[in-house]
Amino acid sequence: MRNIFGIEILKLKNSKALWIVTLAPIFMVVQGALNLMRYYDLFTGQGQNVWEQLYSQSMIFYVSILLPILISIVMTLIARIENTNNNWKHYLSLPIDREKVYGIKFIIGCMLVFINILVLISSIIIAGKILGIEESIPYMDLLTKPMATYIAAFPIMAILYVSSIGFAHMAIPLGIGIGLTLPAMIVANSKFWIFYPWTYPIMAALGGDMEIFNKGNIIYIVSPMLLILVFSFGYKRFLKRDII
Amino acid sequence: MSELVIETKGLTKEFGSLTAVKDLNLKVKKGALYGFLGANGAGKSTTIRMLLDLVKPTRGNAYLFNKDIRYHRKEILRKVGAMVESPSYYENLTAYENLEIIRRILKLERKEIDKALEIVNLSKWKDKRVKTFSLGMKQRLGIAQALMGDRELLILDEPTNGLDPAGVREIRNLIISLPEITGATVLISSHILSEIELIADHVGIIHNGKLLFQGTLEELKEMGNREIAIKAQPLLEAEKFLRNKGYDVEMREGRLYITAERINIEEVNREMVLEGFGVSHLSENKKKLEEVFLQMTGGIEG
Repeated sequence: MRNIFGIEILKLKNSKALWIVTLAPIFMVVQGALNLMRYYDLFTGQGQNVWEQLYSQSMIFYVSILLPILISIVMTLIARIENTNNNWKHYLSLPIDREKVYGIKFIIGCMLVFINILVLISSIIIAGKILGIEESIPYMDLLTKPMATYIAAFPIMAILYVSSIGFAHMAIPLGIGIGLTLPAMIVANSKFWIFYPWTYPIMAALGGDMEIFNKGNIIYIVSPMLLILVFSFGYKRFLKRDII
Repeated sequence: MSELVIETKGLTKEFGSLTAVKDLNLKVKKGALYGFLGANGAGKSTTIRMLLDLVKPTRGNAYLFNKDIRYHRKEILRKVGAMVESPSYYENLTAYENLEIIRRILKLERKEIDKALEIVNLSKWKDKRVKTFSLGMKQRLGIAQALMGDRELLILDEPTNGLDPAGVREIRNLIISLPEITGATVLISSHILSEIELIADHVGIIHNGKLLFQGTLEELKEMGNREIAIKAQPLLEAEKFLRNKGYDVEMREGRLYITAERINIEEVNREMVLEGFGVSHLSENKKKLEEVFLQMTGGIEG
C-alpha cells in the first residue's frame, strides 16, 4: 500500500498544474482582502468582526466557483496521468492490485484538495495580519468552517473522480465539473439545495453567519454517504472494466 | 515435449455482437521468439490483453507458466514484461524515474534500472524527461520497462509501429537479441509480415479472431499450394499431356506452371521424359511467405 502511494506521488513530480491548483486559494484571499480594504467602512461600519468579513469576502468566490473547479482539475489530472500515453494498459499489466490503485489515487486527489483548504486558511490568517486586524484571530471558526466545507465537498470529489477515471477524455469530467458549478449559487438559494451536492460547500462555508450547522447537519450525514455510494459504484466498475 | 510458457484453451472474447477472438488455442514454447501475425483488427491486441488480464475473456482460459491468469494474476505478471500497443511513459518524469516505478513495483535493486537502460542503449539519456524523447527512444524505453527484473516472458505488441525504417531496424535487432541477452521467451505481435519473417522462429497467424496457423516459419512456408515451372518441347503437346494427367496447368512466357497442394517433382519429370518430351528446365518455385499468408487469409494483406 505504501509502495503504491509512493509511486503515485512520484508520478506527480514536475506537474506544474498541481502547483497552480494548490496555490490558487491565495489569489482568492488576495481578492477578498482587496475587496475588504476597498469597502472597509461598508463591511465594518456597524461593528462587524473584521476577521469574519475577511473570511466571507475570501470565501464567496472560493467556495462557489474556485473550489469545485479546482476539484475538477485535480481529479482530472490524477486520472489523466494514466489516461494518456497508454498508461492504464501498462500499469495494470504489472503485478499490482487494481483495488489499491483505485483507492490510493482517490486518496491523493482528496489530499491535494485538503492542501488547498490548508493554503486557504493560512492565506486568510496571513492576509489578516498584513491588514493589521486588531481583533484576536478566531482560530476555531477559521479552522472548523473550511474543514466543514471540505467534508461537504466529499460528493463532488467522488463524482468527479469516478467520472475522470471512467472517461478517457478529460473534457468530459471537466465539463461535468464546470457545468454543475455554475448554477450552484442559484440552487443554494432554493429549497432544493439538498438535492444538489455542488451547493454543500456553499452551505457549509457561508450558511448563516459563522454558524457551521445553521443550514442543517444533514450535509454532514449526506456527504459521507454520497461519497461511499459514488466511490463504491466507480470502484466496482473499475475492477470489472476491460482495459482496451 | 517443450515446456509451454503460454497456452490458451478456447479463448474467446465477444464485444456485444462482435467476436474479436474466437476459440483460440495458442501455444508458445519456452525460449521461442513467437511472431503473432495478423492484419489490423484481426484480434492480436485483444488476445494479448486477455493474456495480461487487462480484458476478461467471454469464454476459455489463458495459462501462462501453466497457471490461469485469472487466479494467479500477480504471481504470473511478476514474470511477464509487456509493451501493449504503444510504449507507455510518464512524460513529466525522466527515463530513470519511469523505470524507478517498475523497480518499486517489482521490488528490485537499483542496478536493474541501469542494466535495462544499458540493454536498450538509453543510459546517456536517463536523466532527460521522456517528453523530449523521439518515438524510437520511447519505444526503447517501453522495451526497457518490459525487461526490468529478468522477466521470463516478454510480450511486445506492435513494437515497431510508427517508427521510421532506421528505427524499425534498430528495434528489430534489439528484439532479435533479447532471447540471447535475457533468456526470455518473446511473443511479438505485428501486422507486418516481413517483420515477423525477419524476427520470429515460430509463427501464429490470426485472422478475424481465429488462429489459422501456428508452427515454425519453415512449416508455414511449406503450407499451401506448391508451384512447378517446366520448360519442355513441344510446349503445347506437353500442356495437353499434363492436363490429361489431371494437373492444373497454366502457360506463361513460354513455360508451363503446375500448381497443386501435393506434387512430386520427380514423378512429373519421369512421366514427361517417358512420353518423349524434351524437358530442359524443371524447378519448384518456393512460395514467398507473403503468398502463403495471403492465400491463408483469403487475400487480405497483412
